[in-house]
Amino acid sequence: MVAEDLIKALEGGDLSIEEVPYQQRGYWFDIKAPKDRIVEVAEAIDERGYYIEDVLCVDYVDRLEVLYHFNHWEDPRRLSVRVEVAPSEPELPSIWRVYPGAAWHEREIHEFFGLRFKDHPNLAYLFLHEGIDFYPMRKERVEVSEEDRRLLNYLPAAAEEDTFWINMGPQHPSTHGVLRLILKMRGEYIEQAEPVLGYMHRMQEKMAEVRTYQQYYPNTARLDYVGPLAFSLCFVGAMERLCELEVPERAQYIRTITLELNRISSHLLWLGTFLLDLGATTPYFFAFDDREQILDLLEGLTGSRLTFSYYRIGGLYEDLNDGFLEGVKRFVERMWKRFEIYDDLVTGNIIFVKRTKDVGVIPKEVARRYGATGPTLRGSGVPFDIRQAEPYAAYGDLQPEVVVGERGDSYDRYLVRLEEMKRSLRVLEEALEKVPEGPYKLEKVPKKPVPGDVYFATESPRGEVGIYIVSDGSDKPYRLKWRSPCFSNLATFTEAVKGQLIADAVATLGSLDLVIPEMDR
Amino acid sequence: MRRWLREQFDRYFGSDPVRLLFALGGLFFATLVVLALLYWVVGKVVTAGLEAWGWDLVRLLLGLLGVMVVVFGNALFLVWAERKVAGHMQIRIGPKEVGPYGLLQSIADSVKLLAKEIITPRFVDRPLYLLAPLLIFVPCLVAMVVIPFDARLQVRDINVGIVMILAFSSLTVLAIFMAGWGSVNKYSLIGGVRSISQSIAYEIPMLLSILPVVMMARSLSLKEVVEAQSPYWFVLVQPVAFLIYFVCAVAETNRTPFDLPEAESELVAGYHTEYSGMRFSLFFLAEYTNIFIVCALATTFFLGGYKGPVLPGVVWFFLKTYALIFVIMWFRWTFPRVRFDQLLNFSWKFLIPLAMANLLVTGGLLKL
Amino acid sequence: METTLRDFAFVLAFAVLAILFALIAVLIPRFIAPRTVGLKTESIYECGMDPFGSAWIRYAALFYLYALIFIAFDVDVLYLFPVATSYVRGGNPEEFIALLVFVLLLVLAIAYAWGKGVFRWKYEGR
Repeated sequence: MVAEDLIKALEGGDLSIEEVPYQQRGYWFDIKAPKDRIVEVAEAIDERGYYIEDVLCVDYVDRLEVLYHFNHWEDPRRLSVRVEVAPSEPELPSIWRVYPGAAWHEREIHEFFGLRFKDHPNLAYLFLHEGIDFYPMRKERVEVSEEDRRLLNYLPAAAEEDTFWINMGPQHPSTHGVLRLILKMRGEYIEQAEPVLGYMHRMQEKMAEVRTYQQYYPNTARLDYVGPLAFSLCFVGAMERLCELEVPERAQYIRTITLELNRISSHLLWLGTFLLDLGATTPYFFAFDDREQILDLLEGLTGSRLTFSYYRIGGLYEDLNDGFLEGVKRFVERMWKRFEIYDDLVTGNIIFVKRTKDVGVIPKEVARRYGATGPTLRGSGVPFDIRQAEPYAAYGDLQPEVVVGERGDSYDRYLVRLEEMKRSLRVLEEALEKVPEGPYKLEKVPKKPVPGDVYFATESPRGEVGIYIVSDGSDKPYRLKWRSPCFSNLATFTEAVKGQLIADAVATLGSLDLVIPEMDR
Repeated sequence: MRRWLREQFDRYFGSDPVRLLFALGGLFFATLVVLALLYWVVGKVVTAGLEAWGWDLVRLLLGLLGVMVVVFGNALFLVWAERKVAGHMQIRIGPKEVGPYGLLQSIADSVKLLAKEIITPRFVDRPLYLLAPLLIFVPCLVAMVVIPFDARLQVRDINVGIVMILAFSSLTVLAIFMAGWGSVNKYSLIGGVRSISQSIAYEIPMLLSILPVVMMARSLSLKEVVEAQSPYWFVLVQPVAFLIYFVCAVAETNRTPFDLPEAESELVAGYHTEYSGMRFSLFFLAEYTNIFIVCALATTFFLGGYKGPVLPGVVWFFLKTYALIFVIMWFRWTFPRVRFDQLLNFSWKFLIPLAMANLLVTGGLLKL
Repeated sequence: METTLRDFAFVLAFAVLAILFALIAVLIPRFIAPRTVGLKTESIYECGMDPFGSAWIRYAALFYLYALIFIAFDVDVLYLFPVATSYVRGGNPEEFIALLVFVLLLVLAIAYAWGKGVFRWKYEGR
């Protein structure tokens, strides 16, 4: 196995490796590395084909702890690498040369915690902006030093005069809300794309630290408003893992059904907007017509149409209402017929094919080093799906088949998502048959979890959503970190877009299915 | 302006009723005198014109009036039709609130556009920026001069009508580039550059597809082209030329799938990004008039123009034209946008060679 | 001569009317439209951010090549119009041969440009 091989290679010296119970912690191996050996550890991990999930920082006042999460496509056992840093000397070697995807995570840590990364190419603001003169995520007030301020305000575009720099976004029709891309152009070609995030940044993670778990829960639906249920479930699942709760079977099945409905509705929204980016307006309305059916169903069940807060720790808010299952059945039947329309309108359209084939190719290796997940990764031909790798809800029983593409271009991502909707329909059909009777929630749910940390991952329509919670035993999380799929997927965009036409960049951006608030948190 | 007028009014007349009465009386007489003068001058000019020009002057004045009616009626109708067609293609209804079937919607829209604020950005190149929307309108109206709506319903049958229309249609490119360059906006600039290369790329196959028609009709007058189309329409003998012409027509009018100069998802609004209110709507109006013109020309060149049984010619003409316009709308609501290199190379690598081959084949066959 | 002048008069009248009309259309809102002046009202639109540098910058040299072959072409194609009007049906095969030679020359120009790679779009990075 890959993990054992890695451990054998790493063991010894001042490095400690501990195997931890997955059922309680959500990861398998806890590696404590000294800070000067982190690059070497990352290299060893990279050699064995791990992809980077997340880099985060926890402030324990007496020490800062940087955690790197890695996972493997074939051997999905999560590694957690911890590095301790003294707050008096907040500096750490950067691993961006090994995992370029870590660069953005490190930028994030730098602006939120004031941890400097040696040898980092660009530590400019990613989410925040000028005028914030302390590090917001530190537990104590720490002023931004003069040196950091210089690093944070560095803007490459302002430094070069004679090139064609163009702002795409934040108010641009194809950046879906408020993403800003600073493009360096060479004629119609893009030489470099520098995304600027944070236009929808709401300090979700800081908010979590000042609210109780129950109070914070509705926020989870506001991260990714297109597929909120995956985020809700991620939070709920992490809490259940932390409190070691056994959720009733019925609740798990209902969760699966709603999750899959939500996945289809999210993919439909993507389908519409993606084609809108390519200049085709009509499929948008067809997709939204279908999506409307799902929203009606979910509205009947949860009471809201966008930010469903339906799950509860230990179960659901309410049992199924009358007619929901029949409604889902009707929807599934209707939806099967609709794919013909999409195939007629889109899949075979020569202009569409020419616009998307071989455009925005993301090779496997790039996807791994940047940590791309979800349909973006599967489009590149990697059969990795959290629903299979770490089954949650009722996915243990209802295994969806994984769809993969071949070339990793925009067209493959389109096909993968379209096919995924069909697979989701199959899962729905199966789940509808199997929904068991019984309670839909646990009677007793603890308000405070035990101290400890936990990782939980779900497969959102956009990729792997992860949550890392550090609990100190109180009713508020000590630290809560989201692993956002779009964040990593967008990082691959900067790589895929180099040397592309501006029109292709729009197509690539559309094919990644970004939801900005989820990325910005 | 309004405030200034009011200030002047208050200053001179105040609230004294007698003074106000006198002022009004004075104004009334002044108006009368001006009107009389105007009448005299216009009368002189008209009689002098009539003597020199005969019925041509009447034709010109009626033509101006008629063409304006056609231009406006067409734009108002097309805006409404476009939305209605789009609506029905997209499982919606389209406009339905203002007037029966929403027919008055476009009138409401134009009033709204009239009342919209016009913003002139600070750093624009003023002459270019201000002239562009005025200039874009010229080719639209000029082309109308020679279009034969019916056997006798044509403002003027110019013997080089075809060349004249093609020459003037190049002005559109100029206006678009003036807008793009004058806006000093990167998106506008890219839109302008794209627009030029697109227009020039598609102008050549367009010319080449009209040439066989000219060869067969042996005239550059549009009316004679129509008259030459009996007993059969040219589309039957020149199907390839018709298709090439139609594709080029879509490209020349910047419609989807060739709407790259104003590609929304790439360039925000392309060359008219910086235009607002009425200036923007002039571009809009010109676009719809251009669609009408290219379709009217397609009708004239290939579909027998006003020729047709039973119904009067003008009805046939509009029926054919609007059928073609419907097809263009259909394209727009069905296809995604092509990419820029694909667009240019489609013309240079495919349409132009094809049009040349078609020309040669026609030339050869005519000699047999 | 007289008719040609009169033709031009028609064209001129219509062109003047077009400009007049557009002018009026732009002038009307001056009297009825509202005016607002904000901090950014008159700034250039670049997706809500301040632009980097001027927009007047050399843009894609590739387009110049397209423009060049266009100029070569457009003029030549225009020469064909008089030819087309006097092209007689039947007889005179030399007319066809002249046409053939002319068009083949044009084809040669396209083939040359094609071979030179004018129509190839490829990113040439630094």
